[in-house]
Amino acid sequence: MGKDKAERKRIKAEKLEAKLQKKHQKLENAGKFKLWRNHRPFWGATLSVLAGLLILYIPIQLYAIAFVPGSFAFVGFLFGGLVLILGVLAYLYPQFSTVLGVIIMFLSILSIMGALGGFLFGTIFGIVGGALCIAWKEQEIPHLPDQSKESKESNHLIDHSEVASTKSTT
Amino acid sequence: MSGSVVIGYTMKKKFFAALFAGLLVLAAMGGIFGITGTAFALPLGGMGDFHVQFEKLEGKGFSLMPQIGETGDSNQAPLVRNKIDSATVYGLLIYKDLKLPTGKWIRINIEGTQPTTIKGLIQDARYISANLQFNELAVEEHNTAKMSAEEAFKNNWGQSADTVTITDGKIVTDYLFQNMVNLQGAKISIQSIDKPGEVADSDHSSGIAQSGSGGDNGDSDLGGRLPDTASNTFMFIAISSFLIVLGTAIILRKRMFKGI
Repeated sequence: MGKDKAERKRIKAEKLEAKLQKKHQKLENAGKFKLWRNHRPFWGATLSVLAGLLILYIPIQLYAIAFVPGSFAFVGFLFGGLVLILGVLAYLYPQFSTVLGVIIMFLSILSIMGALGGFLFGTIFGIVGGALCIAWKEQEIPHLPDQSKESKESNHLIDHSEVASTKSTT
Repeated sequence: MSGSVVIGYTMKKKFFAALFAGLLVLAAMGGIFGITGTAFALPLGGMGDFHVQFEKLEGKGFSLMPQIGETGDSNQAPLVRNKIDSATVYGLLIYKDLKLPTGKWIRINIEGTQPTTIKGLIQDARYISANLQFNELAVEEHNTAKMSAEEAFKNNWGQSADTVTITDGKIVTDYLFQNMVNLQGAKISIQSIDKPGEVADSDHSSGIAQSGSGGDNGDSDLGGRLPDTASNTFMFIAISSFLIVLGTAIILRKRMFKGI
């Protein structure tokens, strides 16, 4: 039983490494934006920024009373603004993605008070975006040289040496 | 070339666990709102006209002033802003007609079967029909000679009263904000209608039946009665239960399919 579990774990780890190697090979030829995207929880942060904007929509409509003392409409500004800022911070500080994700989810749910949750769409996007930020992780994998590249390089070396040897003989 | 590289990826298990937890908290919050019938800082605005009708409203700290605001078909329309510090409303009905992307019209009804308590009510109305009774009513005019036209319109005059009693109220409003609203025994329903109605007749039931008479939808044949399942507790618990079941199915989907 224990062996089966260990075996399953090993297979899972191998599958993950293979998946990450595949991703790495795709990134080798990728542009700057894709490389930049790889190092941060891009979709989580994007959904969080979108959620923040949706949540802010209603308090902005109520701006006339938002700053009246005792008005709860200001709460909508606070929640929407914080979700937006945290979404932007997730782009800039990916190492804190887990903490940022938790706070984004919490604020998105609370935004139902004061901002109707951006017609609930902001709340849903905030929950999904926060979950993506929580689940994002960076993993170091060994860099495996590209097989096709290596064989091209070795062929090139052989050609040079053949030419060199033929030159020396003549 | 040897070395290591860093790859960013999303862990599926962690994602679904976090998503499920978030939906669970959302469902719990919805359930609490449904059971207690209390909502805080509830804004309803930026969605066009909606209609408010009630049998009686007893309010304290009333003030009324002109306002310029956005309506369903205009960016700037003359409105009347009512502010009431605290109010108890009897026989409250709020409804809004919405056009679906398919072209069909629906009406969302929120009816309070028990007295509704509201604190911090702010409402911009473009039509008011009601019987009004004030205590200590004051009508004031202010010098707005040096203000712009828009500011002068809003500040030129105002009306305030210590207490107000409004009966048989029918209001078309574009802007409604309540600091706190306690809607006990709320009935929420959606019905299909032919076209958006004007202000409903004094008999609420006949008004709804009239606008829904041509519809094929069975709901419109109820003759204005809201369906029995249209209760806040049922709706919120149903939505919460659905979210819980969905979250559980997502988390346990592999086990369910593999039979482990």
